[in-house]
Amino acid sequence: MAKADVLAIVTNLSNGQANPTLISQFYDDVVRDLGRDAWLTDAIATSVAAGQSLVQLPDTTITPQMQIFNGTQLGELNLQKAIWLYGQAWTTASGIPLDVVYEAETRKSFRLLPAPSANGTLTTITSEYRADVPNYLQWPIALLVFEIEFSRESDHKNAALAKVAGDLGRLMLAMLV
Amino acid sequence: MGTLTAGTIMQNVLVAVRDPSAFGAATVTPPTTASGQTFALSVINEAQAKVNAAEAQVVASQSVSVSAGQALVRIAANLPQAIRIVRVWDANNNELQRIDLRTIAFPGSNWFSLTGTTTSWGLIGHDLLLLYPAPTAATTFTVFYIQDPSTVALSQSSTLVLSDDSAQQVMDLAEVILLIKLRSLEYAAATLARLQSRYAKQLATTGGPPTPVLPRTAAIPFVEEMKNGQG
Repeated sequence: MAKADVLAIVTNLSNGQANPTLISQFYDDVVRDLGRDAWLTDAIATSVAAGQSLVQLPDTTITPQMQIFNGTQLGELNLQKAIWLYGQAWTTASGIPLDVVYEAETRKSFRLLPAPSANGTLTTITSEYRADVPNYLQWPIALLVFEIEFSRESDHKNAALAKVAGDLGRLMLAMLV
Repeated sequence: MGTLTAGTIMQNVLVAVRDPSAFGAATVTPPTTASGQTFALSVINEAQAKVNAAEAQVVASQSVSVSAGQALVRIAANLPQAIRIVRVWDANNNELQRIDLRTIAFPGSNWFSLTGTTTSWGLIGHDLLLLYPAPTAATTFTVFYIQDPSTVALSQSSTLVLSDDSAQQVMDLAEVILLIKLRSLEYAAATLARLQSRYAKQLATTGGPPTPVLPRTAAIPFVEEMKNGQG
């Protein structure tokens, strides 16, 4: 279901009071929050060239959950352990990748460790942002967007209304699992 | 399948929210009964979808083709009417065992590339179906799922897909939505509290899909010690 359809529900429920620009941003926030809870997951296949250690995931990525290189699940190392295992030149180590080291808190980029000595295929299972969510998430998202819209400072702010809508959205999500 | 029509449910809900002419539910200016009834029907359709999701009354199945070595199936793309997967059969109608990825540890880190006779299925998040081990050759699986009836628009003469004993929950849920639109908060909160009480078990697990996200592999002691700096 397209983002525009979700925003149309918010507009209808708000009797036209919702700010179209802001609710578009709130939609993005709500979908990213759902992504952190793995409502929207996908497997992204990436070709990795020999010697390439750095992998950059698409901007739509929210939280990578697992990496699989040529069919083998990789572990996760922090920087300290990477140095302890491979030495200070850990970024130049080459072989069959066994682990990943994330580059930043966003986790959208990471290094394969050791870097592959031959070309291979990396599969990353990740939660992701979507502008086109499954039909069953349309109303819960609309209600959570509505909650944010009516919680903010505005000429139509209404904390009680926002809370009822938000609670209903969360109930609907709970009914899905 | 119930005996109550969507039109009957809609009229009952509109009377309950004191908007029998559906002007308050209208989405056009000036408000019209036709517009309000169309919106109310969409709300009832959504309500029955969510009640069905919680009560698992309407279960459908669909055949899914899988290529050799394919362990993952995108649910939204392949099963667009599926709200939640409940069972999987192989091509010979053998029931596959559901595995909980929160608790299972696969025997080795190459579990993803293992092929053989598929014996199990699991969910990664809410949107990826895992078949384990991946089939050796191209085959089909029959996937049973809780169906989303809201993908088909309701007309006033349509009967609800749910049995009549769920009609009250559908009306309650639709009522809360319409009361939000009508800004009748006191009654919306009261009706919502009734629904929260009925679905308290589901609310207790809220915060995301019940199934896990991260499949694990069995720990190899030597490697783990190395990683922990004890090797």
